[in-house]
Amino acid sequence: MTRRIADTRAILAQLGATLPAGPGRSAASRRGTSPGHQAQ
Amino acid sequence: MTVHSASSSSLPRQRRWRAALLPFGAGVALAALYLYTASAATDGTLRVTVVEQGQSRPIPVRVRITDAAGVPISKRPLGALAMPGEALGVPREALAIMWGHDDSAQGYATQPDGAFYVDGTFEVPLPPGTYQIAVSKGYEFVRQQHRVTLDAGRQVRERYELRRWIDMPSRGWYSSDDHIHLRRSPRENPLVQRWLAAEDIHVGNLLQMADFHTSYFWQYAFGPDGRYQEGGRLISSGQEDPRTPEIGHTISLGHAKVVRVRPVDAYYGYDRTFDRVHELGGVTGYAHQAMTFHGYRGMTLDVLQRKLDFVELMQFCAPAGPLITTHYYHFLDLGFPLTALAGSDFPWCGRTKAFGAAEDEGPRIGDARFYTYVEGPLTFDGWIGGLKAGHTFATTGPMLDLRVDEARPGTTLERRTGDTLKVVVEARGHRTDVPLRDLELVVHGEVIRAVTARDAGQSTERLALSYDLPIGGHGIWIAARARGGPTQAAHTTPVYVRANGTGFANPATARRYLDLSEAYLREIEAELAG
Repeated sequence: MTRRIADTRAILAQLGATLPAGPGRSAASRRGTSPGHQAQ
Repeated sequence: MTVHSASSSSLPRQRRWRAALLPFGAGVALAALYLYTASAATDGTLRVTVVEQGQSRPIPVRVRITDAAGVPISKRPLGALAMPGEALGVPREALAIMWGHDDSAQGYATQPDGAFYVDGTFEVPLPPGTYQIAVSKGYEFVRQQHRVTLDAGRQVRERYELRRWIDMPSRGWYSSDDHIHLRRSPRENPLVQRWLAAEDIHVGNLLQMADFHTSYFWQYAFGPDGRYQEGGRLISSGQEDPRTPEIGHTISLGHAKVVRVRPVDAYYGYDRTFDRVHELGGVTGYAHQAMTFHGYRGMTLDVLQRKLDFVELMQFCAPAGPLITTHYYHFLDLGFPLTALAGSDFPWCGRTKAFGAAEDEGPRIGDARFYTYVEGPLTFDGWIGGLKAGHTFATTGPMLDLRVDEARPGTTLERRTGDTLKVVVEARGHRTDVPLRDLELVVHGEVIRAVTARDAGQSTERLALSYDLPIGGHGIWIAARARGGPTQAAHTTPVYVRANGTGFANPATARRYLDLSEAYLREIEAELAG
């Protein structure tokens, strides 16, 4: 288990370094940058 | 040594006692016979046949008969499909609690709520009176309630026609319960098949359950030898093992052999099981929404190390259910695909007042289920192929159809910044049985569009929306979810959209979910490491 936890921490560190940071899609949506939608 | 023997004087005394008791015993027997025949003479007989509308052949259904006081009848009908006690695979004491009916001599036909399964016809003698007969067959047929009055010594014949409100197989979607516990030998296959048919489950996954020490609900074989197909329905062996209270309960489906990790001190290494299940052609996931038994801890290890295919997203076990997205959205937002499944955990759990139900139904096969899109006719290979592709949605009533640029759930799309996605989603329900309330389009865990049954052009039977979704600077996951009456909800597996060759993680939540993952690892260390 100790090994697996260490391996998982390494993956988390890698994700932390590579995942994009910043506002998400919904924030963009609230800013009104999602035109063209229509509810039927 | 002293030898005790019957003295010569005691034998006549015993004979005298027997002689004195004989008339008494005979009297009791005669009284019982009188009561039986008197009861038989005064009972009425109810004989029922159930067919699908427009067809003549009787079909398996679930029936519940209650008297004028609302109490389920205690007599087991002729034609009720009884499961041998051995098949339930739990101690007799537990059976007594879960079933509470004294029908063990002929097997267990009566469900915990007093319902029973029949193969289209049944007959039952009942005291004169008025009865309510509830007939159902899963979620695609309209439930029926009938009122019948029986007179002494008379027979009432009823013929009911069940009507579909939707035909999902005709659209390529087949229902499954990923979590049924019934011990099974080949002898039980036709019976289990009819129980599944009565709940309109097309693929029943019967799980052999285990813990550190032993296994329960044994399946006689895994892989092709353990499969049974009849009448367009499949039974397949799976396992709920490993399962621990510290890092969760897991499910593996469709693999060719049972996988049992030994020695016991390796049991927490769930990844060994998952790797082997994948080698054997199966799929792996966490049960109980990863909510109970700290499944989210185990998921942190196994999702991040890419050992998992699915989460059992809907079930009537965890108190916040049936739909719990907390841990699902956590790992989706970190950019890991996970397919949404659902199952009952029969003979445990079930729809109760605690979940908002009008009545305590108790355990029921297929009360939470998932649908898989299958190309062509239903076969095991087609079904497991659809599941591996993620073409699923989980439901306790509503039906969902999500398309993103025509692609079904589970598909990964490659797009570029500035592209626009055409999202079309539709929920189907029924005015009385599954009255739709709302339909939501979910992107990165947030509702970006929603419609309700009160909106113009929408109804309790059909909710629909379409949306032109532009791609920003990063990928996204897109899912749909719907709500119907109390306890009724549905959720699709997402469509994953990669942007500019990168993943679909959510930048807005990445830091939070990375920190949460680390917190879960610390919980595991506190419980297990060392």
